Amino acid sequence: MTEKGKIPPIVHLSYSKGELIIKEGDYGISIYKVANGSVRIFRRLGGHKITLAILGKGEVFGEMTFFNFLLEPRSASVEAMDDVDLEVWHPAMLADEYKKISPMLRYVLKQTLNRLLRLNKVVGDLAAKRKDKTRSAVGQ
Amino acid sequence: MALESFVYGYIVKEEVFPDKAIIIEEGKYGDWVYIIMEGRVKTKKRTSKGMLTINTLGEGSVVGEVPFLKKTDRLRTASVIADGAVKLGLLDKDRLEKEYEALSPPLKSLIRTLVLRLDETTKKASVLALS
Repeated sequence: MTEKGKIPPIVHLSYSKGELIIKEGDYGISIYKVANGSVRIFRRLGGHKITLAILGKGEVFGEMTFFNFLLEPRSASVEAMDDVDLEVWHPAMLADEYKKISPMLRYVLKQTLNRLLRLNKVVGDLAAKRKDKTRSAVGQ
Repeated sequence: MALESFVYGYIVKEEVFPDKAIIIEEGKYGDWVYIIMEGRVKTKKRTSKGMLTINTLGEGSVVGEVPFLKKTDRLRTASVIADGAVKLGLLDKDRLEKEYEALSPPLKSLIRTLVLRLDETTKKASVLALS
């Protein structure tokens, strides 16, 4: 972690179309806000690329790792769909505040996170199954 | 399994529903939040082919938090139906609201992101489940 009491500043990064910003399965700590452009959140399942969401200006990603206390690897990949400018937040910026949230509000958020993780898995599995079906139909 | 002790301080009212009772109806206005004290509920989403069960939740689960945390239209995103007799605790929304409002804008935007994504993913799952 960082030197005590010193919170790293917000960093600005740019990515070109097609560049990978986050890779599923990697460990990462940053939270990103889209300042310009758009990004695709996706997972690879059974050889398929499954789009989970497309985000534009003002939207945030990387939040799941934060709510998971940085314990889990990235649950999906993120790539630039065009030239993208990002604001990169260090979790230390918010971690102290998060720890001070009331246990009840944190309890609610934890459940929201767990439901999202579960549904992401459901969506990934269903989408991969559907693509398999399409592929075998085309192959016939 | 008892509820965590801090939860009791937020319960303003207890309500009992019989089996199959519609506790929350998708599309209706409302942002009160419940916690399951005893029993079980099913969350369901309306689809072109009828009701689709999204999840089954038991004791200690929070229900109804999506419109509360979304803060936009405050419309119910799914229905919540009693699966057997169920006892719910109505949570002190004003207190939760005050706690939420006191957070910094970046943290609020992270929470909103989490909830919006849950909402979108629920919609996506119900579309995919039927295709």
